[in-house]
Amino acid sequence: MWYLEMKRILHTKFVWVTVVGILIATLGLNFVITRDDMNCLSIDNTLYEESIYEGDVLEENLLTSLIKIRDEKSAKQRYNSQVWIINSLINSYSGVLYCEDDISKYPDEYASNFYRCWRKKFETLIKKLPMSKQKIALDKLTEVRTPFKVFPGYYLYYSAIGNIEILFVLILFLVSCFAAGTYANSFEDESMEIIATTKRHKSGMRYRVLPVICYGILLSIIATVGTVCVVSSITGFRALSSSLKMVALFSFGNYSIGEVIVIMFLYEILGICALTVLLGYTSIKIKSTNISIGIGIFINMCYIICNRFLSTSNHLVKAIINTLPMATANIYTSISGIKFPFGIFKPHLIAIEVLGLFLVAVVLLFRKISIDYYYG
Amino acid sequence: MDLIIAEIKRQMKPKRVLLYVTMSIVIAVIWAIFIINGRSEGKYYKGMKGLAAINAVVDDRKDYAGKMTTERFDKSCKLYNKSLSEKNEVVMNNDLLKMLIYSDALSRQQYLIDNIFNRPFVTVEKLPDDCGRRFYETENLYYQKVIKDMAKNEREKALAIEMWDNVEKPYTYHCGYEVWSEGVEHLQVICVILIMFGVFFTSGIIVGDKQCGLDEVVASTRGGRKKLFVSKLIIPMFMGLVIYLSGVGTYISILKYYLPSKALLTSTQLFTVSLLSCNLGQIIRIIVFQGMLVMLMMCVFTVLLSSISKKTSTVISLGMLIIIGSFILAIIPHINNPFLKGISLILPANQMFFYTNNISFPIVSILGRTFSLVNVNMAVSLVIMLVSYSISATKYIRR
Repeated sequence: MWYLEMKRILHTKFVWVTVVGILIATLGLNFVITRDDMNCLSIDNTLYEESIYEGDVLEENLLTSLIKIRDEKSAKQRYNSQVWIINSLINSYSGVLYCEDDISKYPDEYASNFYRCWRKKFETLIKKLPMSKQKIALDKLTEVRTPFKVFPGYYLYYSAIGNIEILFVLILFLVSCFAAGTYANSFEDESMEIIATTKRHKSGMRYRVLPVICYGILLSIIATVGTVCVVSSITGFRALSSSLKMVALFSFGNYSIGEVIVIMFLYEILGICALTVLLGYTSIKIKSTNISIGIGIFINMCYIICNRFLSTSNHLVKAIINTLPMATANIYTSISGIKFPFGIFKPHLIAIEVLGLFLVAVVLLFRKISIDYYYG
Repeated sequence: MDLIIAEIKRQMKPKRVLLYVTMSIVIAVIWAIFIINGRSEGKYYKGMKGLAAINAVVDDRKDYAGKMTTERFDKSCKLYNKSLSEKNEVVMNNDLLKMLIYSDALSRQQYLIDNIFNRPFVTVEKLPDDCGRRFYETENLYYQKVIKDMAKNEREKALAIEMWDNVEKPYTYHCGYEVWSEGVEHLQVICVILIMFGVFFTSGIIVGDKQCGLDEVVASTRGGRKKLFVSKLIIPMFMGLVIYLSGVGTYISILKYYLPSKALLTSTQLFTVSLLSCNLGQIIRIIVFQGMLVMLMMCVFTVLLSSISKKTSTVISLGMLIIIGSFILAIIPHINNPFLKGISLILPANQMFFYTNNISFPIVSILGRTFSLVNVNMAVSLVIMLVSYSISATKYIRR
């Protein structure tokens, strides 16, 4: 029965078209970022040069590179790659504390005392947060381990993570379109009456949300694995173990890039589960596919519009908005920076809230099934 | 003619039409009230919110409305510097309050210019003494740099410089433009939601017949589909227009009723970085017109989708995904990916986001020639409309 249900729901044109579409989008987006670099430099050569300084980011290496580039005007890629790290100290959240616009003006201190400078700038940035949050932020800052790790090719993930984010948002919309028909389709073609007379129909009804979740997970796997594979085919898998700090210098925690991608993936799956069950409930309640699609899209758009246009300090509103499943696709913003969307400080709050929504929706759905289809 | 009336009777049942129109009006009203009531004018007007704050600001600042000449800038610069206390904090007085727009423009310019040349900036700082006198020179310097950064080739650069020269200087300023400029950004989002309504309405126009078996009956009558196609095309477009005009019309008329309408004469450069030589009112007109075109285009496009697919829900999903795709593309800050840029240019409904995406550099090169983006957007929407019209016509009639 489980197998039949999977086949009935997943073996459709819509599913295949969207799977192929997401695959093409993933490959297209990522081939563009990997090709861009070839225009200026041979990428193999770049990677070889970078691999000389792989591993921990050491201050003495930074200093030698800075001296080579700044004073001796060396154009070697191996030194350039190290100077990029110093660059990001100045350019991320530019205008705060360090403001040199040209490499010739960089003082030695940025390289020889890189970690101290980084901490200093981080503390300055934290002081711009609301008072109540500063202490937690400072505590979190002390937990960050130095030195950071760097492996060649990490910079490709700067765009790659952005691509994954876009794809995840699209996937949530696709899932909401697909999930809206879970029960309503059967009401529309009147097969529900027949199903209701069969034995074990109730468990069959409960199974129905699973194929949709599988569909969502399939799409997210395609997006994530596709991106990682395309990027790794050039840089190798080691780039995944460089610190997230290399991509987003001012972020909390000790995550590596690979870990962050896994976290994003897990959150996305949580979001998919919550959205699927919620829309399953509206689908069985309203009995019309079109209106449930409308509701699903409304929920998702609500988050996007509020996230972008509404700036409120009301805690209740924030909590409600972060409960929407779409919040999980936006998790990277909470991990990577100190400009938190809606002031959420700990990303796991979003997980808890969405999990709560998921459980509530499951209870509602199962209750609805057992009340409405109790034929003995 | 009878056929059209019959089809109108079938598709535009009063209850359905009323539902769509009320929904769009309600959204527009809520949004407009939200914008007007949510307005607060900063720390100098504490305790005031919404209309009271807006009116207080207009009363205070109306003396200096009009052309923003360099003398006025100079005066405001001096006033501002004089009012700084020892701790570099602004101590407000009546004269400065009247000229706050000018000193704000100066600080904003300092901020922008520091940012683009990567110099340090501090939020409250003494303005340079001659910055009022040199306001338009600095502005020129800033835009030269913007053009240099954004232009990809010489032709784009030449066109951009020509556009910048056409911008009227000195700028014009009328009180109350801040709320309006906030309203412009929201206007786009409202348009998107209205377009979604339009897609929702149109989705079933041909597929619905197929699903209930009416299509077979129509096909068997003489010339049935050929005559019917006109009404299948006209009804969504008409309904789209009704939804759009009722929504946007309500929104703008509410804003116009409550806000000072003279503020529409304010120059664009005062609130955003732009090379367009038009004022706020013209920007709103461009967006409204563009939105109307996109609405019609999406309706025709949905008719195309509807004639191809087999289920209403598929049509809705596809239409929504296209709109959402363009919405997502529009709200990602700075796309550098040429692949994405190309897609965003031809994706239906992306023309809607002209203001957010491309206001700062509205120029694009296609096949070695350079165009203003406003015209390109219009041409693209017209082309998509024509193409989807012809495909759906052949698809529907010759089956």
